[in-house]
Amino acid sequence: MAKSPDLTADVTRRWSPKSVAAAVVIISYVAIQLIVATVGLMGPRPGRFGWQMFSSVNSSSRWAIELTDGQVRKIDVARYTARPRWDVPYQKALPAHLCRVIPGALEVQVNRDSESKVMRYPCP
Amino acid sequence: MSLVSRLRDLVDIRSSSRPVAAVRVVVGLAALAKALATVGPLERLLDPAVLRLPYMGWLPVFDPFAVAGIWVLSALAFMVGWRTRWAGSALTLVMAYVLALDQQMFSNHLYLLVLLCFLLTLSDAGGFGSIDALRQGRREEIPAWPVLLMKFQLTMVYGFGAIAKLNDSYISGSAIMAGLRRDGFFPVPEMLREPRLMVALAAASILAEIILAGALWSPKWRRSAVILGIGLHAGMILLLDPVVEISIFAAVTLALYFLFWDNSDSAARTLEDPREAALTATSPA
Repeated sequence: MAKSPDLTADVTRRWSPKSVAAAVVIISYVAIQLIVATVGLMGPRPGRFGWQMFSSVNSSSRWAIELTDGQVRKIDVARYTARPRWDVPYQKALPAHLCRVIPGALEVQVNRDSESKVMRYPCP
Repeated sequence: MSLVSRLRDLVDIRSSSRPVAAVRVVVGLAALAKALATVGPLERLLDPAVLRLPYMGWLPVFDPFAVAGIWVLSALAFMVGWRTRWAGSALTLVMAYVLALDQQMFSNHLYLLVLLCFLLTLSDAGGFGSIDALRQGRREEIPAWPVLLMKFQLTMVYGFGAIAKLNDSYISGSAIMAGLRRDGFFPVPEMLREPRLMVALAAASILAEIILAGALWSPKWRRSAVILGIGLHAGMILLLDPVVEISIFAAVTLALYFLFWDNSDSAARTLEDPREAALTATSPA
C-alpha cells in the first residue's frame, strides 16, 4: 500500500536536539519509576521510593539501655531520631549511636512486641 | 508504526496549559506547607544526640532556616508563576536536597512533590494563570509529554500502592489500625477500632487504588473515579495520622486529576495513532 505524501513527510521528520532530550527524559523517567518500584516490592515493607504508603506495620519496640552502674534506663527513640519512621531500619544503626551518645552505656536492649526475647547489643 | 516514530510524535504533541496551571498552584501550596513541617526535623539533624542516616556522607547539612527560606520563597514564586522555570528549578533542587540528606527525611509526599515539581518545570507550567503569563503573554498550549508523565506518575502511585498492600500485615487491618489517629484533630473513637472494620477498610482501599490506577484514563469511568478518589483521600484524612502530611499528599494527588480532563482525547489518540494525533495537534484550529 502506497504511503500518502503527508505521512511520508511525517515519518522522515528529523530529531532535533530538543526532541531527543525530551525522548530521553520520557524513557528514563518511566524506566526508573518502574524499576525502582518493582525492586522495592522484593524488599521488606514499607520501603522507600516504591509508593508503599501504609503498606505494612512493623511491630513496635521498647528500647532500654543498661549503664555501667547497673541501672537500666528506658529510651524514648524519638529523642534520638530526626523523625521516627517505619521504613527506616533503626535496629541496625541506633544501638551503636546510643552507645556513643549516652555516657556510661554498657548495653542496648530492644524488646520487640512480636518477639519474646530481648535483643542485646553490647557497647564496644 | 515503530516505537521510535510513536515517541517522536509524542514529543511533538501539545496540551492545554490551564489544568497544568491548577496543578502548579496546588503543588506550590503543598510545597509551602511541607517546608514549614520540615524545619523541625532538619534542625534535629544538627543535634549531635540525634542519629544520622545519610545516603551520601559527603552531603553537608546546611542551616535549616536557610534551606527552609529558599524552599518557602521558591514555592511562593512557583505558586504565583513568577519566573516559573527558575522558581521550579530551585524548588525541585531544594526539596531533592532535603530528600537526599538523610533516610529519615523521606516521605512519599515529599518524593511526589520533587517529581511533580520537576515535571511541571519541564512543562512550562507558568504559561497560564501566572505572573509570567501576565508579563509575557499567556501560552494556551504547552508540551504534552510532561503532562503525560504526571498522569503516569499518578497511576504509579495508585498501582504500586495497591500491589504493595497485598501482604498479611495490611490485609489483616494491622497497618490501618496502627495508623489510626489517637489524639489531636478528630481522634478516631474507640468503638471504631474494630478489627473486622479494619479488614474491610484494608480490602476497600486496595480495591479503590486498583480502580483509580486504571479508571482515570477512561472517559467513561473518569467521573466515578474522581468521586472514589475524593472518598479515599477524605477517609485517609479523617482516620489516619499524620494528618498534615496525609492532607498534603491528598491535595497533590487530587490536583493531578485535572490533567485527565484536558486533552484526554488527544492522549488516547496518541496511543492509537500517534501520527494522526500529532498532525491534528499541530494543525491550526
